[in-house]
Amino acid sequence: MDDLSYVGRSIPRKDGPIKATGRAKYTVDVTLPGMLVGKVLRSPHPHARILSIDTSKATRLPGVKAVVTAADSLKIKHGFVDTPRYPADQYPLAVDRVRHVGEDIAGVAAIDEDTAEEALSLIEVEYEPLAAVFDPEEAMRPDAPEIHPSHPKVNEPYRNIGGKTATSWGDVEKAFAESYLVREDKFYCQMRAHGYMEPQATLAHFDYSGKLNVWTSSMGVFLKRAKLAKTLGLPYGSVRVLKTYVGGAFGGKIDLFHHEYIASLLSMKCHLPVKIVYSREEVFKAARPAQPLIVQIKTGVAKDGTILGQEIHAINDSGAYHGSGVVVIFLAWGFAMAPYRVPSLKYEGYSVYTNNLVRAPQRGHGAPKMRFAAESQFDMIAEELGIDPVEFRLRNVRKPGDILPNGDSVKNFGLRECIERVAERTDFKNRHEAAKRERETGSKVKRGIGIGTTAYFGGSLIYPNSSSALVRLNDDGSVSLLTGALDIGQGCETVLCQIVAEELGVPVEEVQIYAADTETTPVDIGSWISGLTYVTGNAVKKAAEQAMKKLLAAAARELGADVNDLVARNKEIFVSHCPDKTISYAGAVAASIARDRGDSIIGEGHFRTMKDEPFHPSLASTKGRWTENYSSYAQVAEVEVDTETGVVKIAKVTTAHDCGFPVNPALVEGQIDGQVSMGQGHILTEEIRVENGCVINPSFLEYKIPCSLDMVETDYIDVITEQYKRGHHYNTKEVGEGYVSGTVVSVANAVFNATGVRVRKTPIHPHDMLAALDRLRTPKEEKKSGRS
Amino acid sequence: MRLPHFDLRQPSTVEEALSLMEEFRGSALALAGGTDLIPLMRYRLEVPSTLVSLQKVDCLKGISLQDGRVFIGAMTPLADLVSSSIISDNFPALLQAARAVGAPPILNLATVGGNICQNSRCLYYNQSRTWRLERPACFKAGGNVCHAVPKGNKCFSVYSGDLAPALVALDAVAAVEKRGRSRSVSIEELFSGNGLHPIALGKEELVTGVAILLPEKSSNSSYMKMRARPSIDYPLVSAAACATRGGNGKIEKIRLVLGAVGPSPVVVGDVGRFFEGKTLDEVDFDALSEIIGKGARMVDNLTFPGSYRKAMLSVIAEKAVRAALRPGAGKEKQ
Ligand SMILES: Cc1cc2nc3c(=O)[nH]c(=O)nc-3n(C[C@H](O)[C@H](O)[C@H](O)COP(=O)(O)OP(=O)(O)OC[C@H]3O[C@@H](n4cnc5c(N)ncnc54)[C@H](O)[C@@H]3O)c2cc1C
Ligand code: SF4
Repeated sequence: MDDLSYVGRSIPRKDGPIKATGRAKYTVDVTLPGMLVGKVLRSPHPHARILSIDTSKATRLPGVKAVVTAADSLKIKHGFVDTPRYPADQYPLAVDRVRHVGEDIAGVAAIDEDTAEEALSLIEVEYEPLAAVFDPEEAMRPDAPEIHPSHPKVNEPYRNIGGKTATSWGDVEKAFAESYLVREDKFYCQMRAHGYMEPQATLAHFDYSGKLNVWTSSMGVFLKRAKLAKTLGLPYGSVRVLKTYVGGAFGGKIDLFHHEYIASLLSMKCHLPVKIVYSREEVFKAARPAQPLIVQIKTGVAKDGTILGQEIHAINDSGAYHGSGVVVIFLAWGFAMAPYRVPSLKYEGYSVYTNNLVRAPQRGHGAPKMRFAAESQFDMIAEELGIDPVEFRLRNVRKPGDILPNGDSVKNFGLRECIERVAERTDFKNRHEAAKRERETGSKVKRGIGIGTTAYFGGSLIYPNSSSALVRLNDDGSVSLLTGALDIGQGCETVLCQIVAEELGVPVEEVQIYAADTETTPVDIGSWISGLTYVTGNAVKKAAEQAMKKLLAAAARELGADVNDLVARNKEIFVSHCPDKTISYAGAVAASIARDRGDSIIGEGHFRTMKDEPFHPSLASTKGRWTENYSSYAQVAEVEVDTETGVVKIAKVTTAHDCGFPVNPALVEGQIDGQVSMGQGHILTEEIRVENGCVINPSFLEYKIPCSLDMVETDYIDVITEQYKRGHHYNTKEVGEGYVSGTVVSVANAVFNATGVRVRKTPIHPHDMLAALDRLRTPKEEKKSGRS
Repeated sequence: MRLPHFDLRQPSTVEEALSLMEEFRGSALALAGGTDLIPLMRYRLEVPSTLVSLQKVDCLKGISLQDGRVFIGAMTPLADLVSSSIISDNFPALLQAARAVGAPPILNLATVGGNICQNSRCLYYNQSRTWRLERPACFKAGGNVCHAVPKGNKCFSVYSGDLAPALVALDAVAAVEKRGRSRSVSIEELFSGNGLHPIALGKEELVTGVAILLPEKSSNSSYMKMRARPSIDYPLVSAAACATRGGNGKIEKIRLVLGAVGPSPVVVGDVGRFFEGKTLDEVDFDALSEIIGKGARMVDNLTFPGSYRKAMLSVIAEKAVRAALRPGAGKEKQ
């Protein structure tokens, strides 16, 4: 193993003390003199024409400084995707029609909250309600109310199709014909919230120099700048988005959110700072929930369990606009094909408009739903064939070096080893068999064990596609890192400082980081697409390397030594064969300035993935590469099911993972625990309940997210990480998203193992579980599989 | 969400508190720990013009044992109940109920009086004003529809306090006072049975404490609660049981109370025939389950469907009875 001082160690978080002591400034804590309170008026209707908006009374209310509606805006649309195939489709303020409850109608800025609230109540809007539709399968029917015309390139006679992804390889029909067993099943999932603790919040100040300064709780400042500039009609130079501490996002704070636009527009109107902070209810009602997906999956296998072909039909309810719907139907395909060999596949995904809320990506963006469908069915097939679920997976798992249909290589893919190791650690096969036998005994509490797996991409190409970094040596020999990366709670600032400390031989505490300011820091890929440690990390590494090179060159000259003979450690440089010839970093910096006509020492680094890949993959056809590093996981859950109450309890989740090199192992374990908890919420308790387009449980009391006291026991197994320790310690893979899937799937499969009840819909409500147990007790003929 | 405007009064004696309650009769509410009331005020479901805080009335805090009777002051924090050996030695049901309230931070603030006097709950009622304004007001909010039961003609909100069912099972009595007059009311009688105003107290009245007789040696009690998340939630259904055994080990009497059924805790009547003179093994729980919750109208206004909650009543009741009759049971230590 390399002699590493900082990288690969569980260095405490840089932002730990300031957050734990409550002194970190989140957006809500940022205040400016003369700051106003902004509020948003929202549609109470799921679908309506706006006949008129009268803001005159609100404008006249004393204390109100600005009121805005679409009439004040440039009416420029925006969208999570904005491409020739999927042009932007959403106005930041509704123009003539609203398509979901909570859609933004108007904004007010006033001297205090009460005045702002009162002003909202004085705005008169006349609506003509229209027929609405909330179920995506109903919305596809030719007679459904039309929310938007179907995409012009979709030829099927369906309504409300926002987008379609279609791809295939091999001869699926032939594969099914040759299969020993073909199963077709359908799986549903709920609408989920991200559950970030910090609600959406924005402070915008359009100052008299004509610059819009924006502090906002986000996942990356450069994307916000691009979208604000576009919709407000401002040049990039007039929009500055600055860092604040962020209290979690989980995918739910990418893209432009309308309060960001509205706060900006209000401030542009009155030249005063305007702050909008969402209530938790508004987060549920107006920010974006995650993407639900219905997955119909048909799989044909040989007698020994080898997968021969698959046909998958996915339906996404994208809500009233595209949001990330047209992306999730593309990603779902990828999550179907990456971990296991599928020799022939036909995939179709539809993104369907409904009068529900617009959605955002959520940790895993489709993976938990696709893996839930695929691997629930794996276990069903394995059961029918009398094969152990672990065996079934090992028979089909991809091998290192496999080339995927999109041209990606899975390279040194560790999934096989993950499956083997997790099965061994949990004594899976014996316990799985034992639980099956015990199912029939009289015990009221049934125990079971289940497995689930995933493969996940990292650092894919999406705006702004790359990260740059600057590393600057100060004249006291300390180091400053400038990066556009925004720490959303995952600890990226700590990780990036570890890399600088490692490369430059300075104590990690002495690395100063200046992050996430569109004006002063270099561009960054953003805290999504699971690429920050990989993409930004490697940019930072290159910047630090370059700075080191310059520093050593100056030192070599000063010491009269060969650069190759120099060793740098703890801010000192010495000649290896004559250790008393030394110079401090401060001395070397001074020497560089003195000798090189004033050159201070600055290193720059840039990084993007898939350097030879000019294009983004096609959302429509799936052509194009995805990633250059696939992580993989296998997770095993142990559950208890109370057959009297239908309540499922997760006893333990064991994770075996191949995450490349863990730059900070404690942070990796934190990611796993966080995702196990998120998976627990997904499979057991969380659900946004909607009636006529209106959320009826918009609070953390009624939206049942697991709390710290509900956390299950976890255990981890590092799989191929060891190999990376030798010289590949910047080869990191994704750790921030994939583990949710394995948790969801392993619990669902464990529930079957315990009870014989197959979960086809998440979450597993106790009442549904009881009903299913009752049906088992009074069995009726139900066979969907056919055998040839 | 901001609080509406109110005047805060902070008396330091019971007399002062009672005079204030009388002075502002109808427009004042007592403020104990505030964990129930403050959220309701944020939602504008309560807009009292005066809050009479009992925080400084020290004599309302504490647990004492005198003459075979335990007295618990209304302002005793639930955290104190949970750590009291008088409670754990004598009233396992009350200890278990207190422990099951909300989550640890809530126990530190919440009081016994406030817990008993909390309002009933409903998914369509416990919502912000903005949320409620998007639909007509329901009965409980002063309107004339019910969103949980569209054709219903009354309110089906659910009293979700954890302590009351346990206290009813233990035959506890509340000390109720208004200026110049005090009365003792069984906890059971504190409830009106009306979802609109579940607590049968006069507007100027306060609960000053709860008294419970020490149990007979051979008796034991238990409280069982079902909730969506073990970490924090209100009960979806609950049951408290208090059982006494004779010298021969056979059951002498039992009191079984259901919680989160409707607007008040429900005493399961006429259970003697299932238990008296029997050992635990002889109890026919299937027959018992036939009568449990009979007549209760449980609707879809909490996390889980009413039908499921109703089905769970007998399951949870059986668990409570079994726990109260567990061999060797009687004392519950922390
Ligand atoms: C997240 C959350 C979870 C919760 N979970 C539970 C739960 O699981 N189980 C449960 O039972 N409760 C739960 N609660 C409700 C509440 O916390 C408890 O009921 C608590 O015990 C109320 O006590 P308090 O002192 O805070 O009452 P307060 O809020 O101060 O008062 C409640 C009501 O009682 C009245 N009142 C208070 N004291 C007196 C008195 N001495 N005489 C007359 N009237 C009085 C008040 O005017 C008010 O109307 C929860 C609350 C929250 C916020
Ligand atoms: S049960 Fe009906 S009337 Fe009562 S609070 Fe709920 S919605 Fe209102």
